Amino acid sequence: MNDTSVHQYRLYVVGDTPAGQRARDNFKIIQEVILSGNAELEVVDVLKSPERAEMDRIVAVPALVRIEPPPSFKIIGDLSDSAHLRSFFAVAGGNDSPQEDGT
Amino acid sequence: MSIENPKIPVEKLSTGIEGFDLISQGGLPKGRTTLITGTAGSAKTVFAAQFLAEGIRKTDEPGVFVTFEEHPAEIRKNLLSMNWNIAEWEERGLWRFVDASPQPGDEAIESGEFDLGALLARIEHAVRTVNAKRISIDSLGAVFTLFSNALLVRSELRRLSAALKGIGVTAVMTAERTQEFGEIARFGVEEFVADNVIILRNVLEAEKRRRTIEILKFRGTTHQKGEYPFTVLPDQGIIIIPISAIELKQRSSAMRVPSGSPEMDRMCGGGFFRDSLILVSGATGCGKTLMTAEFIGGGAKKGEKSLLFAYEESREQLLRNAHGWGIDFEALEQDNLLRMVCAYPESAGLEDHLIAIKREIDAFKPDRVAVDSVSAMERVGTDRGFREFIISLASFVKHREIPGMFTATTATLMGGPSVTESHFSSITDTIILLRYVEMLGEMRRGVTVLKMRGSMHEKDIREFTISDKGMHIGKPFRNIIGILTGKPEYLNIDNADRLSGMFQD
Repeated sequence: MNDTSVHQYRLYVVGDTPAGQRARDNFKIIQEVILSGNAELEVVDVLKSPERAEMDRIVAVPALVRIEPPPSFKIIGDLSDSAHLRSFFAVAGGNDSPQEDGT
Repeated sequence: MSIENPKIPVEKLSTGIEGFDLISQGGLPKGRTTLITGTAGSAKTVFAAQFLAEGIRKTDEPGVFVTFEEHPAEIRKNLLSMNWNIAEWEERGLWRFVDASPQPGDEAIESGEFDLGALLARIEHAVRTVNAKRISIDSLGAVFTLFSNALLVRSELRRLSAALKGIGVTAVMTAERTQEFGEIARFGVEEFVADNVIILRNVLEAEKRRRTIEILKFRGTTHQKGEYPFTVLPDQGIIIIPISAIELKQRSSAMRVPSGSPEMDRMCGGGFFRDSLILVSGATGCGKTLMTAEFIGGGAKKGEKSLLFAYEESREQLLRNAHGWGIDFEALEQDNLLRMVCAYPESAGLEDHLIAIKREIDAFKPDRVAVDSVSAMERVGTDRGFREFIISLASFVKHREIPGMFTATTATLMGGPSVTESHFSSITDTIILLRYVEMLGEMRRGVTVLKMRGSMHEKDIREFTISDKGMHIGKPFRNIIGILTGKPEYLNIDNADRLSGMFQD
């Protein structure tokens, strides 16, 4: 499976919280390690854009939503459970690096 | 957090839900959160939605509905059957959904720490946008199913509850319970979200469903205690029947109205009182329907309108019977002096019947009401439900200050007590007994006025006959005892003289 299109993600946060900051940091790692840098992230503050949170039906934050490619999915939390995420992204089809067994 | 001034009593917000403001003595505590708990199908969502709908319809107060269970489209559709057009209210900025209902494919993966800050922000935004005064959250139990960490949900709901207090809206939250009598709600939510708890019940009793509402607690303010029956009507939502909260404040009148039979008027010392309840009790076929027909006919002669609720006979049967007694019900209907409402007791629950009766009385504005027979309703509900039905029925009629005639069928042909009598007799002003009397191998009919509040009345048991002109009350039975108990016995003249002599000095 060779995915060349750019992945788009949206991260919902409420204001400036430690969990929100951790989610950003952890996404950077995911972006580099799992998604080979091939992903864009938009950060949305629910306090500033509540309508967008309404559209995406966000209840818990931080919440990461994959916009492209389909299927869309949601991950809530500060993305700190990296082992769990790694296997999840492998199944969800976001990993275009062939060797994933080596860390 | 502000400390409330203890000297200022808790204000209440009139909900607009019929009967609720009476039992809650003014409505829900204003600016606070009230938890509504109940088992599945106990009308929690209806209560939550109606709280907003009545605010919009009656006082133009906008509301926010937060849903964790049903999708807004479902709620719009379901409540349209109550004639609540939510889509229109949304357009007018009076109703706003915060949709947190689970959608297929929407399940989120949890990874690390999170909180429900987005939900809070969305709710606050919705409240600000429409300037909401009321908010409903349906339901808390569903929030627990969305996330794996119950502890976190608890602390977040506590935060939500505090935030709502800060905004100053009056909130209703629903929560599930698994049993009708047991813990207040699942997950123990009542302990941390609300100062006020209301329980909705939907109990199966003797094969009949009975809905009740109970205000368990209102912190810092008063309310009526105990369970009150309610019903959910398709076009009106919840209607609570506030039985013991009904005030006995009707005035009393010394004005008399004719009973329809001049002889009966004489027996009652000049007719019935205008605002009295008259119970006519007797075995089947001994003339109860005839008495109601006379009562209606007597009113019509004075130009008074009567409303008749018939639970034993169809319209055609009634017309034919009344015709046989020389009273033309059809003509009275055409002259708008009579309205007949015929229904099978089994066609609805007692609460629904009661509300139908009240509506008919409000719409037709009769000068007289007759119910033939009240005892037919015994078989629809439980004993307790029936007692509540009778008390409410009596108070509806009394409040209008019109005479009401209710008939009760005794359990046995020869008389004896009935359930209706035992519930009814203490609140009726006049009791008339009709009895079969066996005399020398012949069945005769007897009538007596057993009780008449505030008036002298005859104590005799008189014989009466029925002809094509109606009821004719004749002479008192003499030399016969035990008619009322259904065991008549003859006395020879000597005995009778001796008995009456015993009470003379």
